[in-house]
Amino acid sequence: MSKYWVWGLILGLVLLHQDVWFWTDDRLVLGFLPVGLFYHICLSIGAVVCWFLAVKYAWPQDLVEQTVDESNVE
Amino acid sequence: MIPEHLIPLTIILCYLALLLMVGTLANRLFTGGKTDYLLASHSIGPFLLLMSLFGTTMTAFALVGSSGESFKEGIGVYGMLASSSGILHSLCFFLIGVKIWRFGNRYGYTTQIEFFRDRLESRRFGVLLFPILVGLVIPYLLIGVIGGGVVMQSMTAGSFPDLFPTSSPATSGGLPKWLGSGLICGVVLIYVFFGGMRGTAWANAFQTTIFMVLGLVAFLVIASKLGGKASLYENLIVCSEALDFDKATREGMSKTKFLTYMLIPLSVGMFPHIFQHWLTAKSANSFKLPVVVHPLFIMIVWLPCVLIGAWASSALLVDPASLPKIPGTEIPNANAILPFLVSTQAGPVLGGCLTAGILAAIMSSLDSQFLCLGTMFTEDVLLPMGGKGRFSDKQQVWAARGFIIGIVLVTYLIAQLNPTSVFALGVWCFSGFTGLIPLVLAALYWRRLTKWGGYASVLATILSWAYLFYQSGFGKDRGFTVNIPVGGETYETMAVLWVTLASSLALVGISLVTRPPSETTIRRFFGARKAESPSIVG
Repeated sequence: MSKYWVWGLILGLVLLHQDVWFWTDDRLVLGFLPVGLFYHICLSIGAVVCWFLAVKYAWPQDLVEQTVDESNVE
Repeated sequence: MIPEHLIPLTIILCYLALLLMVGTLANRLFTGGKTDYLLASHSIGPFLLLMSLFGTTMTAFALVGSSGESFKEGIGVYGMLASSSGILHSLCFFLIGVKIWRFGNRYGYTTQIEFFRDRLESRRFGVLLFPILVGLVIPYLLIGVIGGGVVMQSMTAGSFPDLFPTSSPATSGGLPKWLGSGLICGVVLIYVFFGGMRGTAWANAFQTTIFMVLGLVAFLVIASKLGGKASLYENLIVCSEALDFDKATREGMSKTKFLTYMLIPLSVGMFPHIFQHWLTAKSANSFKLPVVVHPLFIMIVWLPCVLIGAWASSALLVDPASLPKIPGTEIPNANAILPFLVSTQAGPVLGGCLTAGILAAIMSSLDSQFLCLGTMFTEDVLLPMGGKGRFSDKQQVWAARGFIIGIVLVTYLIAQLNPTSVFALGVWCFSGFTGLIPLVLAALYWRRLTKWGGYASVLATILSWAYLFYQSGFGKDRGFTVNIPVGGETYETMAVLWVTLASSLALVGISLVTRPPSETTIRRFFGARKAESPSIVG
C-alpha cells in the first residue's frame, strides 16, 4: 500500500468527522447507542486502523535505515 | 473495622501511599545524572511511552469534565473532544513527535526552546518563547490543583463533620480544598523529586491503568442500576430510550463551532511536557504503539463517561431535585455529576476507588508538567545565563528540583485564591498552544522558515490570543465564539481558528520576505538537497 493512500485515509477521517448527516438523528443502534455517538465510535476505531496502516506503510524510511544502522553497530 | 464514612478517605490515602512507593522505587534506578533525571536516559519503551503520553494528555476533564459536558450538551461532546483527539493526537505523535525525537537524540535537546534556537539560528528566541510557554502551562496546572482539591472535598464529605463543617451537605465534613490540593501537590512533588522522569513515567503507567479500569467499573455499576431493570443490556436500553432529543443528537450545537473545535486537540503537539516525554523514547519504533493505540484508549475512557453524563440529564432516570447544585444557585453542578452518581449508585468502596481514579488522571498530568517546567528552567534560563561548563550535572538536577518546588508553591498559593474562572481557561490554554503549531510544523517541514518568520508567528499568536481573550471578558464568557455573518446567517467559530490563522499568515509572510536560513542549518535539519545527495549523484 502506498503511503499516499494512507495519508488519503487519514484525510478522509478528518473529513468524515464533520458528520452533518447525523446531526439531528436520534435513532438508537443496538437499542442503546444514539446513532451520532455510534458513528463517532466507528471513527475512533477507524482511526486505530488508519494509524496502524500509517506505521506499517508510511513510517519514515530513513528512520528504518537508522534503526538498522544502530543494530549493526551493536 | 473502618467506619463506613471513612472508607473513601482510607482508600484515597492507601492509593497515594502506593503511588509514592512506585515513584521512590524508580529512584533506585536513578544514576544521578541530568539526562537520567530529565529524560530517563532515553530508555522508555513502547508500552511505557504509550501509558505516559496517554496519562499526560488525559486530565481530570477526561472523567469528570466529559460526563459534565455531556450532561449539558449531550452525546455530541464525544465527537467534539474524543474522536477528534483520537485522530489528531496520533497525527501529532507521528508528524511532530518522531521527528523531534530524532533531532533530540542526534543533537542532545531536552526542551523545545533548545530545538527552536538551533533551527531558527537565534540564541534569544527563548527570551520570547519561555515566558509564553510557562504562562500557558501554569493555568493548566491550576486546573489540576484546584480540581484535585474539589474532588477530594466532595468525595470525603461526611468524614470529619465536626472538624471541617461547611454550609453545603455535599461538602460538609470533607477534607478542605487547601488540604486536598496540598496533599496532591505534596505526593506529586515527592515522586517527581526523587523519581525524575523515570518515576514520572512509571507513576503515569500505574495511574493510567487505575483510571481506565476504575472508569469502566464505575460505568458498569452505574449502568446496571440506573434503569431499574435486571440485566445490564436492559438497563442500557431503558437509559438511552429515556434520553431527551437534544441530548441524543447535536440539535443545539453549532456546526461551524464543531468544525473549528477540531483545531483544539492539535495543541498537544506544542505541549512542553509532551515534548519531553517524546525525548524519553528508546527508539523511533517506540512511537508506533502510542500512535496506533491512543485513539482506542481515548474511546475506552470517554465513551462510558459521555453516556453516563447524557443519561443523568434525563428526568426519567435521575430526579433533577436530587442533583448537586452550584453553591448559592439552583443550577445543577455538571462537574459533580459523576461523583454524585457513583456515591448514590455504587457506595463508599467504589466511591473511594473512583476518587483515586480521578486523582490518578489529575496527577498523571501534573507530574509531567512540574518536571518539564524544572527542565525548561535549567536548560533555557540557567545554562544560557551561566554558561554550559559552569554547573555540574548534580547542580543542574538540584536547580531543576528547586524550580519545581517554587512553581508548585506558586501554583498552590494561586489555587488558594480560588479563581473560579480557571476551568474556563483550559480551552484558552489549548488555543494558545495550537497557535504555535504552525511554528513547529514549519520548523520541521519547511526549509524556508526564517528566524523572523518564527518571531512573527509567536508574536501573532500571543497578540491575537490576548485580543480575543480580552474580548471574552478574560475567559468569563465560557461560550465565547467569533461570529461570522455571511448572507444573513451567523456562523460561530472558535477563537483558536483565528489565532492559528494569524500565526500561519505571519510565519509564511515574514519568512518569504526575510533572509533564508544558512545552508549549515538546512543541512542539519533537512539533510543535503537532492542534487547534492550522494545516493542520487553517485
